Amino acid sequence: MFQNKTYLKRRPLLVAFLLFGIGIIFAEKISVPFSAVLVLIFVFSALLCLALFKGGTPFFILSGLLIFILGIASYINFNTLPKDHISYLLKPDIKGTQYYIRGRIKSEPIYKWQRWSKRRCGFTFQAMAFKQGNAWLKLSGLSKAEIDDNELDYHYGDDIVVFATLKGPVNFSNKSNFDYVKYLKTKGVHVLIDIKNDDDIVALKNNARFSIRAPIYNIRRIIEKRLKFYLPYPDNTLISAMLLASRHSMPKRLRELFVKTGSVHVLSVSGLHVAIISAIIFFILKVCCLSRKISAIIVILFLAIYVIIAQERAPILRASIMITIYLLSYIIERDFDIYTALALSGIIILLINPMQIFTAGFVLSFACVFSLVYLTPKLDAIFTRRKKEKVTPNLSGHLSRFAQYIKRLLSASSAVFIGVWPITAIYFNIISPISIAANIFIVPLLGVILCLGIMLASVPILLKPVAVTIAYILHLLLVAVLRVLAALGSVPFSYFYISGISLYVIILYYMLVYIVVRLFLDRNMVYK
Amino acid sequence: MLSEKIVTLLLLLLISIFTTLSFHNKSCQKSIYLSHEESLTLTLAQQAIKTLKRVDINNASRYTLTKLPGIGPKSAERIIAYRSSHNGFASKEELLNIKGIGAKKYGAIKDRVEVDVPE
Repeated sequence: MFQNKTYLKRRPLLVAFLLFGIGIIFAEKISVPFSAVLVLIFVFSALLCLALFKGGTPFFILSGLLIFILGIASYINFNTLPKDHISYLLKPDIKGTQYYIRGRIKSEPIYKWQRWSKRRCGFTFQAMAFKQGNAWLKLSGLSKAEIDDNELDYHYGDDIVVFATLKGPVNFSNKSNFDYVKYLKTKGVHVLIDIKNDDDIVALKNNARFSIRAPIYNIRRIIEKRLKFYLPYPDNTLISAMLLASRHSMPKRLRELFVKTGSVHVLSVSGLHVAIISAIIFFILKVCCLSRKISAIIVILFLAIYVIIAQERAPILRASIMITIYLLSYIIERDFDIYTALALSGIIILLINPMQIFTAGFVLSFACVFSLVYLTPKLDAIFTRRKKEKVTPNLSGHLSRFAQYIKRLLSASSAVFIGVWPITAIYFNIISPISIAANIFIVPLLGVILCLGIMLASVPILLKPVAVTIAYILHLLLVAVLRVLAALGSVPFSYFYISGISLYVIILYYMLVYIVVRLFLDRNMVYK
Repeated sequence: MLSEKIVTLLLLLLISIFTTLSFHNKSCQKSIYLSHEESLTLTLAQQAIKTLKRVDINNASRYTLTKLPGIGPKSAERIIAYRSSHNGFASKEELLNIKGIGAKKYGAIKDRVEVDVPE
């Protein structure tokens, strides 16, 4: 891969992405004052101006160093809280402190049913003011709000005044490595707000009238209602997770089944979903006889909406940016390089939120695509050593084509497993070798399931018999998926738990994989 | 080649300037008070919260009592037990006699409870 010395120069964005990421990780480990970073930015910018008219190498090195420093700067900037930040209201009191706070609901509220038919409501809350003595003072910053006993419905953009208890987040005391405080920090949330019930809230007005998100969240609600209406429980929760990335109502045992079989990516809208959905829309537009360039523009617009529907998670953002770059390259008739697109999407995500680099979703998404792109052709060369034969249109021809398809799925699934298992071991303490088999089965089905899900969500209410038929087929498919996953999960050694895996071991592993690929697998590429 | 270098330089400078300005904006102290009109609206909203959730501890059900901050099902049961054994509360301060309600918890709920003394 890196045999050509100019490889990195041909893909400068890949270098920029790596250096920016390393800068962020450096700033997380070593505390650097922003003033020092500012001086370095100034010095390197000046040097870069001087290097403009020199050869390519000094400019390349200096811009790399500046990008590394910008990584540090963006980390410090993201984690610097303004002086009126809500987290300064926190006092070292485990039970929390009570305040009257005015703010805005910044996410689509999630409702969960608790014991004794109690409903709990959670949302991201943008603080704007609080009461101290007789005066109202300005406040800023995000917090995670929960209403313990909720009956009323709230919406994105609602301006509210609450009487609430403020608490600092604490980590769960279970065996997993999950760092809840850091997880919230990656979302810019430093405070938890506990609201007793609806009586402690007064709604002022809704500010989302001119927002793009409000109508999109409305569409999301309508789709969720429709899926709930036509499909039985827990099928509706499964399809909601696959289509809308809303996993909160899914039964825990089902989620665990997907985790154990290494197919949990199916439940959180990932690159695969975006690619499948884009392909479906492209196909529909093709049927409508629209030109390919116009179809590409429509797909880009749809992706922008879909990113908001799936609540802007890192994997969907990554996939949407990559597909957008691909479609734009098609529109302006330029070559598409997948590594450059991957790097550009990474840089955009990290510029928006540098803390994303520490999230499992971001790391898994990028590792997964990189493994797919880098390892799949090499494994493919092993599985299909013979020269390509002309497929005859008889039964044996079709069978051989099917076998080729399965082999390709096998190489893709194995490539992802080889590249991703250390990351799942770190973040989720689990390794699932069975994921190779599970994904061979589930990935082709996912396309059909998503297609039927979209049809069910968009069939007009008047065509109830059609919707019922689609729902029935969808139900059968989902049952089949669950049955097969349950069977695969019960195979001995299909998964095992692991904890305390060292980072050095993982670095060594990746180096070993690289050496093996360079020494043995690259040779097989000759057969292709 | 030169044009590519210039674009790279401009992009990097733009990101540098944006990051620096954003950091500066966060670090500098701004006015902390809201305008008079805004404060008035919020005070009215706050009063609406206060009036809404005044709970009469002599008549409230167990469920209503659990709506008070810091009062769970157990504390609510203790309040009801105290109420029955002492023929109701004569004043709010009597809540301090209940196990599990200290000065701090009382401070949090005193504005949200009232005592309707039976004649």
